[in-house]
Amino acid sequence: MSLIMTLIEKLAFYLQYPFVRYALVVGLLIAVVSSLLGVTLVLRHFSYIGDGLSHVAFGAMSVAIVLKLSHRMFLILPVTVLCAVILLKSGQGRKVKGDAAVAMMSVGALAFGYLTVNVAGASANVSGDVCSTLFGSTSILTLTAAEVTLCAVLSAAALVLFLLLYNRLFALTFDENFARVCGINTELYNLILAIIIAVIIVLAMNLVGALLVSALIIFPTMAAMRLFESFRAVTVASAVISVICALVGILVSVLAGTPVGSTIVIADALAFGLSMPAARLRGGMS
Amino acid sequence: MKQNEMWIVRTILLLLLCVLVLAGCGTKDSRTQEADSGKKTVQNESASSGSNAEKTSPDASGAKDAANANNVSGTEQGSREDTNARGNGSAREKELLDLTKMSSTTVFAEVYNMMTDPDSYKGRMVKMKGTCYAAKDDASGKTLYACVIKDATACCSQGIEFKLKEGFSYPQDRSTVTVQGMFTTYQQGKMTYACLKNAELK
Repeated sequence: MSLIMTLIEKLAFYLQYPFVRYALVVGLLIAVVSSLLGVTLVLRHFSYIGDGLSHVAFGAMSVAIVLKLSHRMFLILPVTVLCAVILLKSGQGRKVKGDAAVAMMSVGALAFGYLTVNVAGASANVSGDVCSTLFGSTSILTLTAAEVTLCAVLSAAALVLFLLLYNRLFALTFDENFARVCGINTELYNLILAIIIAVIIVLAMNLVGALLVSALIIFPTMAAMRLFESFRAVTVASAVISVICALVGILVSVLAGTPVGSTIVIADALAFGLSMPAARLRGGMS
Repeated sequence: MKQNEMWIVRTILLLLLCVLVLAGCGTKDSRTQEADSGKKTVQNESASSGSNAEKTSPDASGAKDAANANNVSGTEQGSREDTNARGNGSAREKELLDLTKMSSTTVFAEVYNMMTDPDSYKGRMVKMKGTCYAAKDDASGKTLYACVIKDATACCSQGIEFKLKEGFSYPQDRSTVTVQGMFTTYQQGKMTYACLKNAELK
């Protein structure tokens, strides 16, 4: 009991700091939107696209740092969106498809970004900056109020779009050809999906870093798929699991002094691990 | 009927999201530091005396971090809002910001925030524990002392220069110190530096 009281007191102590409150608000918003998109991506076998796009975003961020841009998002977002459109664009006659395209773009952008900051970067601690960006050790705790507002607005926009386009995304996810035959403009909705994914990936980099973004997309979805069967149930469960894991991860990292990004990912992994026996107990799908 | 239910659920979720967003958005005192040519960033390696620590200290990474810590960030991170700092005025300034009670992750984040938004912390008593780095400023011949802390992965460092009260002797280089002083900033050339003045070793 005394341990719990001590933890509560410590938590109350940290919550008086604005940067902790900002981290919680933004972290939970990012967790919600990334898990919602995760269901679509996992079912369309695009699980690794989060990693690819985050590496592209890292490369764009490196260029923005070298160019000393005051608002890096003006470069990072358009570049990431463009790459998302290229990767998700379905079409025949493409010589490099699917996972190969993701892999090439991913490693190429990562190498380009690291080379750029090493050769032309102005920071005194390039390795530290890169490490922090790739692994998200404290990124979420060093947001300005303007960045919090931007993250909140973008997350809200992504969530609203997802809610409004829920039926069409459902159709696109399970049978794109049938959706096209039914008169749904699949090209348009794939484009919108690509933009939403790119925005969420860029936001998620603030939470867990560029290398661990895929965890936010995959783990909550896979855990939810073990427990539930319908698309709606999996989507809702994925969001709930993601929010809980992000909350636990942020609080544990703040209290215990661990890196934020990896703590959240470990929480997600534990949730996935617990979902397996839970599914067996429930008699759910394995 | 089912479509109506979906719309109701969506509307409720949208309203909840709006509440969450409004709860997290901004504070009463919004301040924007302009991103002009005079802006300084934590990342910039200054050519002025603030970076002298890196020229003379044998440990390049530690000294560079101390130098960076002293280069106060202006605007690369944009505006930062701290209602508490402004709302309570002098009472807040007298309140001790005890970084020794915080975890390594939050200490790093708070010191980072102090460097990027020093105006919100000016006048506050700050207590921190870290490694003392000493470096000689070639231009003035003075020795600068900084208390440097690392983040959880120990790959990034932040620190603040400290100036002890009269009569106090400075600690050895690379020793662990707990220092308490008033957070302030000063100009040297075109650069703004942060330091803990009238500091005491605890």
